Amino acid sequence: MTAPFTRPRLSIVVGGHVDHGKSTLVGRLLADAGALPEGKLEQVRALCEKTGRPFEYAFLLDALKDERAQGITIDTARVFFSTGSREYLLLDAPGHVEFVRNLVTGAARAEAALLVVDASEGLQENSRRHAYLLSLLGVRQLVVVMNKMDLVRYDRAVFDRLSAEFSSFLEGLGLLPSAVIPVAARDGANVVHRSEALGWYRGPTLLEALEGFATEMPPSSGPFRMPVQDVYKFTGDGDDRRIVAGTIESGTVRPGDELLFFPSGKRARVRRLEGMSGESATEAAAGQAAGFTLDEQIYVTRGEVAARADQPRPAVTSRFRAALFWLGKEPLRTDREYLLKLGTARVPMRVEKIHQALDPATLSIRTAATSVARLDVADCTLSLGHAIAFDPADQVTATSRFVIVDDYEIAGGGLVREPLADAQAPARDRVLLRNAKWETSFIPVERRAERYRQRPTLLLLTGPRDTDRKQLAKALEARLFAEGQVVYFLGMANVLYGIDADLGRAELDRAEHMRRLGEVANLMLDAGVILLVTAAELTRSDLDLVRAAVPEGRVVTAWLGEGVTTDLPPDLRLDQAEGAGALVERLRAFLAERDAFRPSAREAAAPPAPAVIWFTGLPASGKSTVADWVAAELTRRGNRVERLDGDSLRELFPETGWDRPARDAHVRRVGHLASRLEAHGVTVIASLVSPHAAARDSVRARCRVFVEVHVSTPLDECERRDPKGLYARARRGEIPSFTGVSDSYEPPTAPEVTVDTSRVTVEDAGWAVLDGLERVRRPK
Amino acid sequence: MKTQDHLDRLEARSIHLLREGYANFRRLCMLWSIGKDSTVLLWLSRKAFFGHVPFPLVHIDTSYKIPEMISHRDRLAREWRLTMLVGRNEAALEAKRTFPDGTVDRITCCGLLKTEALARTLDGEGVRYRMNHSTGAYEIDPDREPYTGVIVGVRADEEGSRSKERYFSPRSTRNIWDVGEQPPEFWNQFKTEFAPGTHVRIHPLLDWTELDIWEYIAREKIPTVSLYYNQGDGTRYRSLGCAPCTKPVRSEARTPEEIVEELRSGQFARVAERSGRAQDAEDGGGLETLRREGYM
Repeated sequence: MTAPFTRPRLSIVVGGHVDHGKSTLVGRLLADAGALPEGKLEQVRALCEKTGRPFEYAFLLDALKDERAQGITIDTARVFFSTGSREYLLLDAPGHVEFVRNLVTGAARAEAALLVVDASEGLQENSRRHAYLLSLLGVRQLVVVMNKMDLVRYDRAVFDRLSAEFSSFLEGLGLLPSAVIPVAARDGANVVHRSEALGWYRGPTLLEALEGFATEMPPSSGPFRMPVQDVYKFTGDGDDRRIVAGTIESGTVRPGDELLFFPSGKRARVRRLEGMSGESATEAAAGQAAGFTLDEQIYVTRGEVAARADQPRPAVTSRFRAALFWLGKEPLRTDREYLLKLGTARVPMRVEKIHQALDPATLSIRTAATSVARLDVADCTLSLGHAIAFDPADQVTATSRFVIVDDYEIAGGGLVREPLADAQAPARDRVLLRNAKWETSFIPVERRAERYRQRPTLLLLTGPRDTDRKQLAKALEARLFAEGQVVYFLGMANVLYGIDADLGRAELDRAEHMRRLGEVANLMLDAGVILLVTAAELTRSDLDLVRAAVPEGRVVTAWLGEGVTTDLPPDLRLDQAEGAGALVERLRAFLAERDAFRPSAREAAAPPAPAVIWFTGLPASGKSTVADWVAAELTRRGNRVERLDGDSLRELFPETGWDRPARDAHVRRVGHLASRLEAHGVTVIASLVSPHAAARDSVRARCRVFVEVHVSTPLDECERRDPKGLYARARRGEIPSFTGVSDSYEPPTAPEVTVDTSRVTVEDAGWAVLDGLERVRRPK
Repeated sequence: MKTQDHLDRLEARSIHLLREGYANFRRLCMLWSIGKDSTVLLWLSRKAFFGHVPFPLVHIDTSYKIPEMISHRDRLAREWRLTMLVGRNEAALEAKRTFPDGTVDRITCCGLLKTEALARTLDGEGVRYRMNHSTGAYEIDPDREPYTGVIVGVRADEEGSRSKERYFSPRSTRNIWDVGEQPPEFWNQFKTEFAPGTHVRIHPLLDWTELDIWEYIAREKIPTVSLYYNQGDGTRYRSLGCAPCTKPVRSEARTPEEIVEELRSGQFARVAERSGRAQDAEDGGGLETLRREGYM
């Protein structure tokens, strides 16, 4: 077989004004390049003759619409064909203005563009509009076709004039066409073949120009950038990898590379580049969907950007200047809030200032505008709800691109031209340094959250000076504490006269007070605490300063008192007239809604559903040790728990032997007991070698919620441990039916959980079991 | 550094889309028809999530599927530890509103057993059957919550209506697809915000062609149902559907490599892939009518 996996394919978007001859051009290209199915051309010609219509190459496209075979595919949006050297996907961008959304969608997927201009009409609205969009969308390879040269009598002077005019327009947009080709699509001149009528033209034909386009590869030469899509931890099936996943937008990464994550500034080294089934790679590059484990358990989330510590860093701020285009039905306005998406970050956005708006069709410019109309392009300063990481377009284009969402729809897009300082910049610089230097403990944030059954959250309770915030916060603290939450009340005075003792009371020092409050809050959040802070009349800039110091999304605000007297946009408003008891309940419900409590804690009022957790595995594999840990943890969570241990139960039935029927009878006996206990609301944690699959399955059939845990520690490790010396005795032939030595073990084919205690700690194994229990109880 | 060929690039894009779907939709599932495309999609999911498939697979069983497809489904579900859900239109099956052995025509049968069954399985009004991995049997799934994100293995080159699709394609509450009003998609940004009541179809295979699919199956050695291969009688299925409405084509290809060769240079280089599927020919508008109403 001839190198089947390396077919090059190139996508080209075809734009231009309506009726400038795109369909004829494409039809002619297919016919002359020999890409049509056999007999198709003759068939369409014959049909035209029969119906008395003059034949046109554009008809070919219609005639081919329902034909979908490997060689050619044509439909309303795309033409897929191949020449001898490679495959082409032509993406049609209809000239009608209503279809600009399709142009944008097509051009963003394209590696090159073709702009068609009617030589007899010259530049029209969409010639310019499409050029603007191509430039903003970042299509770098471009060919211009001056079509219908037959209508201007193949006149070189017309071509030269139009070509000069369009080229200088394109140059202003940063677009450099690789060719401007005079073409008469109707008679095929310069499509695939040259023609005498255009003999004065020495450049490439259209097909030659297409073949000259490079297949663009994502830039692996730039600095490493990977927007984090997710952090995966699939603890089921014994997989304890914690994998940071994302698509690399620029640069390369290798195991051992030191990474910085932004906007948090956290630091760790790449341990392994992970694959589907445990294999690992030596390098990942731009364009790849990658994933890696880190040497430290730092807490990073979707929305951050991974960069290499030895390369230029991305910008981190909440303000920037951008070039954008607008597609929304409603104009983009300065008095509304939108959602901005850049990489994997999502953030509320406002337009701070529209420096200039331009209608690319007419080139009419409006300065100091208050709105950007549909299909306009504009130069704006945008202000975000919190800082994100990005690059200016002239450094790393991929991470400079953003879209704007209005009312659930993508309504515009743009490029960051220049990051701008915001009020939190000095405080943030300290935070970035602090996070880069941060010492990470062995206990990941998620583990603490699981232990405390809560997500660390900072509640800022503020309001006018005369309201009684402190009493409310203390009552809420007492209430949450009584429910078992790890919660702490921090009054402003506790900070002011201690940590802030060196600061004055002047307004000038307010920013530093807030920065320090943010740092204190950050420590307590890192410790896993729900922190309640009271302070009078907090402003939006106070909030921004505190937020700059703590992990994204973990600060909520509530305003107690009648009117909001500052510019703070509180998440919750409370009226003192509601009374203390009702206010505590509302705040408690609000914190739960914001995920401060984990869902299991929210349901803690109802007793947890009982279950049978059955540990099976070789002697000395660690069954009982893990089972004891799980029993302790479930007891702590308020479950009624019974531990059943195979060896202890055997002591009650000393007559039970060790042959197959006796072993199975023992398993059934324990299984029956477990199922009865479960039926009465007890969670049973049983650990038995239980070597036979059929016996275990008979237990499973009796129980309602059954979690089979295969402790899969390898035999040689179990034998090495041999705490009771049983393996040694079995090897000497003193124990006749000893599982693993003189008797067989049938491993489960589909256990809910598999743990290998030679590879993971007891605690990690225990968590894997609890995760498995969670999955069985609450299927996703 | 290893250069990325066109399959690597298709793979990376599909994985990106799968991860975006997983990050953005709490109630996410994947449709698995047991055919080659959605099996490739399943394989890509295992790559995207490092050996795991963190969402349920939904199979709409018309009960007219070729039996080997069902055994293939259950075998892979066990081997790959999949959360396997099956839905069907039991009312229509009981009332024999089927084709050709029942009371309705081909298109109506498709509408009832596939489109309607799918809609009810997704919104939870219909019964979902979940594979119990310890017994291998299907049991009624207590979970009736609707799915808001549905991953589907359609390709743009299959037939006319699918070329107009987006990677993330919103559907209204009644599963209706508005072909004219589609959101723009660019720079790896998709429609992931939506009004309550709507749901989104996610199409990670949109850019793949039939040839790409077979090249990838050959390269990755993806297990596919043997109906795709000539077992000695000189015929094989090119596209799989229900037994009464899907016909095999004449072909000698016995392996994915031979199918690749056949598609590149042989008899199928210029014949449509779904030519063995009768409902396409009967529906004048291609599949567009069926698709508007929620057919996959």
